[in-house]
Amino acid sequence: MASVECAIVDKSLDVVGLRESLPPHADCGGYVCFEGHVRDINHGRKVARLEYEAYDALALKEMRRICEEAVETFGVNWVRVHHRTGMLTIEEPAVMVQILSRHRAEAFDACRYIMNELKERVPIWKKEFYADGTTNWTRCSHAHMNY
Amino acid sequence: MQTKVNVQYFAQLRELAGASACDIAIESGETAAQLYLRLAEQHGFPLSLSDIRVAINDEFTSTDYPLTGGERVVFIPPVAGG
Repeated sequence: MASVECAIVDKSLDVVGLRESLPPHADCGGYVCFEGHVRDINHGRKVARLEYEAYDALALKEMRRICEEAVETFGVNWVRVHHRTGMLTIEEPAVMVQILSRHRAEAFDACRYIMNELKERVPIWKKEFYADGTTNWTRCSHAHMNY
Repeated sequence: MQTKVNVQYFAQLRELAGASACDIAIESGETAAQLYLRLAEQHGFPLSLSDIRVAINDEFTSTDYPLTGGERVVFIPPVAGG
């Protein structure tokens, strides 16, 4: 039943609805969920809010590739990733990763892999709006691969 | 031969270019890298070519890609999702 679902959404992530809409998983004893929330400080600067912008077509393709790699590498049964765009306030969820697997170990490993790769490879950008009124497009990673 | 491509801008490049997308005249055979350097000079993009990835028609490709006209080109600054 290995399957992958990815979405980029411009409204608040429905984390409760996403939790309650897991597929049938009688053979899975492990469920791992990660949510990334907006933090109020980055590199010592007070953050008031964030704006995420995505190159939707390629971001979705790359998110799906990463999830398929996780299924292939760790043997997890099901993966879903939802990522926000638009303006977000402090503590709001920006990303949610959900994984079902037979046992917990591979689900933890797959979750870490997906978040690490997502931050490195997926064309989504983050603009920080600071409490002092200034802004900055942050640079979490060097996006270069072997092309 | 003169032709054109459609360049889409995101994030800081969109703000500096003042547009989300623009048709740009090119010489057939001009590489994506050459086009980026031209646009960077025109708009004052602060990112060097080594900081940029290129997508052609919604797929990652080499910066050496020779444009033939009609492509949708995106220059991808360092990403920051998650």
